Amino acid sequence: MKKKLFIFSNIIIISIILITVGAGYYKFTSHLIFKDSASHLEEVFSQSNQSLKQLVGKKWACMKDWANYFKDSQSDYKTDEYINHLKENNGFIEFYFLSQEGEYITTDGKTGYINLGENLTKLMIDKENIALKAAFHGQDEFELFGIPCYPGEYKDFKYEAFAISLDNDRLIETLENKVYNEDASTYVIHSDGRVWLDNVGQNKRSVYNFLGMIKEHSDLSEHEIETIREDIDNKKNGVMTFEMDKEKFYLVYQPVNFDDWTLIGLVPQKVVNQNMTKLQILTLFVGIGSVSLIMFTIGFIMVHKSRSRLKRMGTEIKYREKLFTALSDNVDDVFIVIDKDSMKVSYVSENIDTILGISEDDVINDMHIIEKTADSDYDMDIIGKLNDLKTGKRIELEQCCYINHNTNEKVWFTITVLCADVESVIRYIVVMSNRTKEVKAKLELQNALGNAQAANKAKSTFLSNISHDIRTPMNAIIGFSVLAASDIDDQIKVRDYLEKINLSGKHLLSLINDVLDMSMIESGKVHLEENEVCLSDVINDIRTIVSGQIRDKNLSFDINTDGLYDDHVICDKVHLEQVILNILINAIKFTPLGGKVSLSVSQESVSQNNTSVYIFKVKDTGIGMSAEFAKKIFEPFEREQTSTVSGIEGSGLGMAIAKNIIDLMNGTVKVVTESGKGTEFIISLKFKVQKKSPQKPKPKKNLDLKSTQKIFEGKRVLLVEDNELNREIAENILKKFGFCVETANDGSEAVEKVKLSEKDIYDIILMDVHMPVMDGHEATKQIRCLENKTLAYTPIVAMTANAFKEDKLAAEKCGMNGFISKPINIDNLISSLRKVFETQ
Amino acid sequence: MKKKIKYVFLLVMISLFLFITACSNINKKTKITMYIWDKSMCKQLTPWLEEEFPDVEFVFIAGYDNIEFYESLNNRGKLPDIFTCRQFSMNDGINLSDALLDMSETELVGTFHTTFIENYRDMTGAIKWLPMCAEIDGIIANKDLFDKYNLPLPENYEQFANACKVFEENDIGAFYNDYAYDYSCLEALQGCAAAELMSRKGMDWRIKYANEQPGTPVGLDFEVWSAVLKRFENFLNDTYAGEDDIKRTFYQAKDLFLENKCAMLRGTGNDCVNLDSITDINCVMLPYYGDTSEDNWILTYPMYQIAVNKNVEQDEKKYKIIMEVLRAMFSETGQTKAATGSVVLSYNGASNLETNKCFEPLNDCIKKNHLYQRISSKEMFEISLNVAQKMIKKEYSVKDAYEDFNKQLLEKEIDIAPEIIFTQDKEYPYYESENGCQASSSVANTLRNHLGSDILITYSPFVTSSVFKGGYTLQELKWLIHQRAAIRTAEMNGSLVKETMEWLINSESDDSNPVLHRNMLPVTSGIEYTIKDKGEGRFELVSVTLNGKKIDENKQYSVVLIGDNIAIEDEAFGNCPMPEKISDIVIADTKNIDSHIDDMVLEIEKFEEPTEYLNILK
Repeated sequence: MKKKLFIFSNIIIISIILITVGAGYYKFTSHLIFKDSASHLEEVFSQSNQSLKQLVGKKWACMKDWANYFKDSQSDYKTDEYINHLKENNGFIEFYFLSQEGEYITTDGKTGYINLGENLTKLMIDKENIALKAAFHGQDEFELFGIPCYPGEYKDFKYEAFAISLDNDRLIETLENKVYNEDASTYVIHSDGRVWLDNVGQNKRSVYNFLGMIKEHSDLSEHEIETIREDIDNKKNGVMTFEMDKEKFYLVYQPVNFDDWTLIGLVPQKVVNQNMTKLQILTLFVGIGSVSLIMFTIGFIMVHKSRSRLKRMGTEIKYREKLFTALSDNVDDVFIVIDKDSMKVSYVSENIDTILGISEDDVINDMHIIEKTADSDYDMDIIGKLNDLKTGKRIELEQCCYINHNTNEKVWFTITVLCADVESVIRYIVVMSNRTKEVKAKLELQNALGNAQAANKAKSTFLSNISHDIRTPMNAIIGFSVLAASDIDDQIKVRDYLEKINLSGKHLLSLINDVLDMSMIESGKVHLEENEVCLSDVINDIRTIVSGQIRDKNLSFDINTDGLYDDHVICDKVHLEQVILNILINAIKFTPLGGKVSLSVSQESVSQNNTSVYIFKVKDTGIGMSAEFAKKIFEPFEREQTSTVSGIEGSGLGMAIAKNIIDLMNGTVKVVTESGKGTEFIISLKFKVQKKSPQKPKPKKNLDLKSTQKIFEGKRVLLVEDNELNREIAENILKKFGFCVETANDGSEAVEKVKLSEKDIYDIILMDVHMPVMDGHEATKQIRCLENKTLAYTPIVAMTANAFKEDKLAAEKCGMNGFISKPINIDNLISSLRKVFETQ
Repeated sequence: MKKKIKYVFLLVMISLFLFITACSNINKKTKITMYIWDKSMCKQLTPWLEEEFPDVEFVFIAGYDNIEFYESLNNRGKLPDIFTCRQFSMNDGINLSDALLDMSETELVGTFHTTFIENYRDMTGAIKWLPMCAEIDGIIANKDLFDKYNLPLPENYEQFANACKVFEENDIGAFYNDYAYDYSCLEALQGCAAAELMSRKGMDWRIKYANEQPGTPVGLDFEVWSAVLKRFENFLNDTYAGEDDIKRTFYQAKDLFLENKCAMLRGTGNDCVNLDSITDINCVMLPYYGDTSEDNWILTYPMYQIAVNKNVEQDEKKYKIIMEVLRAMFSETGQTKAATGSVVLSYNGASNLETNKCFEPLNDCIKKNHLYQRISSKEMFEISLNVAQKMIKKEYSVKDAYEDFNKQLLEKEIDIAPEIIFTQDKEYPYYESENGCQASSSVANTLRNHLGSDILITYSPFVTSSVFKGGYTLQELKWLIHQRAAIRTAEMNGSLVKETMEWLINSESDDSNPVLHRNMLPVTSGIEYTIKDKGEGRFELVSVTLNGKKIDENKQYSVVLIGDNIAIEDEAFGNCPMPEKISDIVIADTKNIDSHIDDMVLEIEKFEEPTEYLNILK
């Protein structure tokens, strides 16, 4: 702004200097031209003046001669002749003999009166020559020259003077300007301005009173006219210029030296100064042109430099603008500029569309639209808070939550407003700093804390529950073991105690399995293994599994598969069975003796992508649940009544496991229950329908002890187990099946034993995984690396309490041939060993 | 920000003010007040001027044909822009000279013939009065009677005197003049001795007299004026002038002329043409005769002189407009309009004098340039009347006449501060509005109350100026009312009052109309009237109301009519005479208003408030 002012001031100053210099030059040259022209004009009009003086002087000189002639004239006839002769030679129009009273007589004998006014006395009494304009009624005025003479008589007319009326043209001729011709006007005026004689050019105005004319039509002031009047009165010369009818004239006045006559010359300035003015204008233009050229060059350089600088600045500004745009587009902050006077939005960062789901135009049209997107919990009137904000100050508003108009996502902002004054334009700059990430992180931390606290609580609850549930069978095992020891001799009692110990052990194992399953599910380690499955087979398997329990409780168990049309599907059979069994066993558990349990399977129509929703319904006439509990039925360790109260054993994890597996299968489970009347679980699972009929599995061979013993008879087995008790159990079982069992306490010992068994090679090695000194995996690796390949390829079966899938994979990876989970299930052990021997 | 608003507001206001001022100036007409010496100027000249200058708002006021009247206005600072006066001489105007514009150096003056305009140049060289075209004055002769008595038209004084003798012998009045009037006496006195007055000595004296200065009166030149008075004595004797002529009016003389009871009559060129055209008599205009045919002269006088207020010089725009107005007035058309068709001589151009057969006997004078311009100072009129009448009565000899004339010229009345007989406490301007002239209304209301009549109607605004605040002398009171005002009283019913108003206002189908200009609308007291302005000086009466209600057409009202005196009225309204129905009722005891004013001032203390008597519908 200041710079512009500076440039503007400089231009003004330079212009003023130029104009002043130009005007000075013009004035100076004009003065020179005027002086030169004035001198020239005075000379030119002086010639006209001289001619007039000569003519008038000559006339009077002649008239004096004529007077002498009339004095001596012999007769009127002679006089007539003389006058006619004079007329011819002197070019006057009429000759008048004048009487004392102003009466006249001409040579034609015409008489009459010439109103000479004061001139009559001048002529007759003062005996002075006169020259005036006279007129007869109804005729134009004419110039009359009179001269007194000796009193005489002509045709009985007594005269004392005579006069002639001159040919106007001849007088006018004397005023003709030889230099300027018709461009010049020449007047002979009286002292009061009356025009006595004029010689005006063509198309010029008739002037009756010259002073009156310039007073009425020229630009001369009263004072200037008064000066001219005084000069005329004082018979002074003068030259000046004036403007009349939008044209400039030179005015020249010179006394004629007769009576009060003054010769006036008028010539248009453009005529007089034609060449000089051209020269003046040319030099002025050349001067101005040169200066202008220099100025233009300087200006051009300055402008060029200025433009370059401006361009650089412009580029800078554009870069900054780009930077700002990029910043505003890439940050989650929103920037808004509001004009203080109009309270209209002049700028909105483009990212508002992405961040708040409202367009720039909408905000520009109505700032309040932002307020409308604010969460209803917040009252965010930004405009209303600006009133008290003074220039240069800033305010920070409370954090506010907005809802993205398009995504309905919440966005948190901290709003800062700055009242800025840029070149007297006051605007509010609103910076909406996006705090969503921070807020979300905070919320997540809060949730995590909550979850951690809940997990801790759940862990405590879990430990409490598990402690109770573990302690219960453990109590039975320990208690009956003690009783068996004390009653060791009573075989019947001991058998009873051992059965109860076995039962409690199985329960404990089931509990541990459930806990492990739940742990696997929650840790995301469970993966579905989908294969072609025949649902009818699944139902049959389930029926087989639960049949014992059904019988024990004398329950009525119905299976309905009427709605099942496509029983071959792709699914994870194990987990499907687990889900149904968990629910079914639960139903059996909570259904009193003689009650009714049913399982129905149906399917919805097959969709285009060859899938169908299968609905499994498990219904019982059991004790049912309260509505409140039904909501928590799928949460871990939730039981409406503890086993202590209900007398029903359970980990409280079965339903949670079922629910998690259903979720894993993208299915749903719904509970319809009423306390005291029963419960119905409805499971919906979508399976891909398999039209091909799966190959029927080969019928399993039943484990026959005797035949099995034959296979295993004499087989040397190395049992590697660090736990003495487990070693003992396993050793006894193996021996029972005909194995020759050698033991090792850890992997290192096992490796040594294998190395030393070159002569009597082990048929199989049962290897515990977790052992001191050397674990099973390392031991297996070392065995496999033995130089004696026969030894190195000794079948090794893992036997571990780590029963997860990854454990199996780890065993396979290190070269083991089979996998048996602990506690040892004899069937599983035998079938696994048999499988190993059969494959060799 | 607020400052900026203030500046912007200020700028807008200034711009608005300048714009409004400019607009108001654009539409504003230049007002020029012009006093007319006689309402006859309204016949053609004033409407023409308004037509020629649509951007000028003219206010035409009929004033007094008297320079003292204008001196009085000047003393009150109310001298109009332009004014006209017929009775004039250079020495009359000397007291007013300082207030007048010097036009000597104007182009306008340059258009005049030097020989004529020089008579208007004062001692300082200034020309402050300009003569309008000249009327001619001479002897109107019944040529038929000359022929009847085998008398040739005279060529010199002797033949004229002889003709007079023949007519008298045949019981025919030789030459009748209305010596009852000052101008008739003056014109006969100067006309018959024009040669003496136009001699060198006569001219010298005339120039001297014209430049007379206050306190140094110029008496008569003995040589010149002895001869003049001798000639006049001879003229009176040879024309058989007697005491009857002193009482005789022009109209009486004219009647006798028309009845062939008079062979010659003093009159204007216009009178001669009129008489020739309206009768079977062959009328010719004769000059005033000298000893020889070389000494015959025609008497002329300007129709009026025009002067301009010096103050107009202060307003350049107004000055230029006034110069244009004057140029128009002195143009050929302007002079024709001023002459209203009369035969006139122009001081700055050709005339049609020679073309009229009535003027054939004047041709020789015209060729010889024997045109005498009368000396028409106020005192010259008064003294001429006095001396001429005494000479007719033969009360004294030429020598006595000279001495008396000279004495009266030299012993001018010393200005004694006149007695203030009346003091007005409020001013009512001479202002023409939609509701009338305030000054006229004030005087009309005062007169009606003084006369005790119900209604007063004046033919036109009969006042000559505003009603001024301050003291009034008797003369000033007289000047306030138009010089030719005459009062007539009548009993009229409402219907006739309405008809009277219709006569005064409504335009006739033949365009004849007493009201020729909006400045000339009637003034009423006791009644109000509404008119419709039809443009171009034409109006139509819409209604006449009394106190706002329609006038009762059957009710009798005492009405005062104030108009011009009968003679002038006939002249002014000749083309639209008063309907007989009205004139029959108007009581004939015409009374000059002067006496009423004399009576009035003795009884009242102030001029009454004006009323709104006029309503003009556009």
